[in-house]
Amino acid sequence: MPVALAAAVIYKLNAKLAKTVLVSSARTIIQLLLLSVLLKFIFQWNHWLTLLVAFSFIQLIASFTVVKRLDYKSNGLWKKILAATAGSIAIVSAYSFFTVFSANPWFNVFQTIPLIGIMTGNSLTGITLALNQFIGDLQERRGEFEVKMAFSATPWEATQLSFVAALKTGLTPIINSMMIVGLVSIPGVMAGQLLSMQSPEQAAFYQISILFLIFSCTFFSIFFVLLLFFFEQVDQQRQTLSFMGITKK
Amino acid sequence: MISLEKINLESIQRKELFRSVDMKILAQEKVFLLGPSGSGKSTLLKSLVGLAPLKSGLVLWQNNPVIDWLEVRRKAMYLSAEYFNANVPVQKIIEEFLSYRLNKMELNEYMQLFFRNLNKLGLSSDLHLQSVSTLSGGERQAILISMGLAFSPRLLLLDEITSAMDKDLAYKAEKLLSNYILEKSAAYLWVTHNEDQARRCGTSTYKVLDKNLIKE
Repeated sequence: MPVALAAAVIYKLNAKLAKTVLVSSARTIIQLLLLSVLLKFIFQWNHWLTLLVAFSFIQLIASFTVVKRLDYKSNGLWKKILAATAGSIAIVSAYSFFTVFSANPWFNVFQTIPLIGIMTGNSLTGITLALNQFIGDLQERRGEFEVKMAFSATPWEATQLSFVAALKTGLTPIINSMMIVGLVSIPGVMAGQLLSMQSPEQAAFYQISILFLIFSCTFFSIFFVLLLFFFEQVDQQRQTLSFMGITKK
Repeated sequence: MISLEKINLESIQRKELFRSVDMKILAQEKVFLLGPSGSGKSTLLKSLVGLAPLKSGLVLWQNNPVIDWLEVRRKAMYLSAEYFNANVPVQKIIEEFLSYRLNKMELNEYMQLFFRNLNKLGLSSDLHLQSVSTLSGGERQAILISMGLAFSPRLLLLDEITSAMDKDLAYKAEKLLSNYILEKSAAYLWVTHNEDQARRCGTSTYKVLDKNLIKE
């Protein structure tokens, strides 16, 4: 009802915006209903194979989403993204299953799949931002890297500042939300727990754990994907950057 | 010092630039390279230090085929001011360059050499506190020469390094480079569009013709 009321007001102001609001509301309903059906279907088989299939599926979709959102094209980029995110998320989430969330049995799909979903979804933004900046630097600031290498920088030394800057850009959203969490808004996981009548302490504990998990897997996936991309750009024989295979979309 | 044997070069767009180029530069030599824009002169200079890929052919450094390009870049310096630009003071850039593993110089020792070169070019020593982006094209080129020489390279690969300088500054730069070659028994290969400059300073001049180099 409140959404319909808002849409009605918006319609008076701007018909096109109202349409967008209606479409997005409809998509919210359809996508989440579908998700619930899908989850119900998946949850029938509480088996480690189910976890594996869901994990692979989520990671594949995530990699292609990042590739689509980038401003640059580069061959086989989705494989690097897949390797970096899947690797980081597998390690970070395995750690969390055995410790914070003590999933029982270890593959308990009721817990593990939502966790993997939260982590992947949140890492996506960071990876996209960081990769876009790093690839953009290599594409557009080639001359500056060459000056550095002419002054005896190794490929790593020449790219180091860009690498760190891209890492920082990718981590900014999650760092910002860690800075203001609880001051401005009550975050989703915590709100969800409170709404289902859990104690505030427990809700806070879960929210803290989730934020730390998101932070670590965002960091590791950005770090590894930048590293993979950097190594592809190094011409080992000439000890320079090759600047090959990047094109602007 | 450096020789090229049957060098074939392509541009990034896969256009053929040079076919089977042979060339030799000895110590004390001041070689000029003239040719139309877009003929691949810069790419040729870069390929001598591994900054551009060779399609085929050999670069020999002191009669040995190059294996360690990092080592060659320590002794042969490619200088082009085209992309020497940043919103940071010159001093900062120098500190970054000195932080590289292969540059084992002390900051004080380096700055002394750098200032000496700047003074010989008639430029004020506090130029290094200015941000590179606020310097004029000629000043940038002068700073780059001063920075390059302070690393004491054996071979200088100069890419239109005086093109934005006024006559007086360009003349001082020519003199500084000539004296350097003499003192250190070094050499340079200088790409320019200024034939007078080549006649004035060079010991030999090459021209680009039909994807090859013709000695004048």
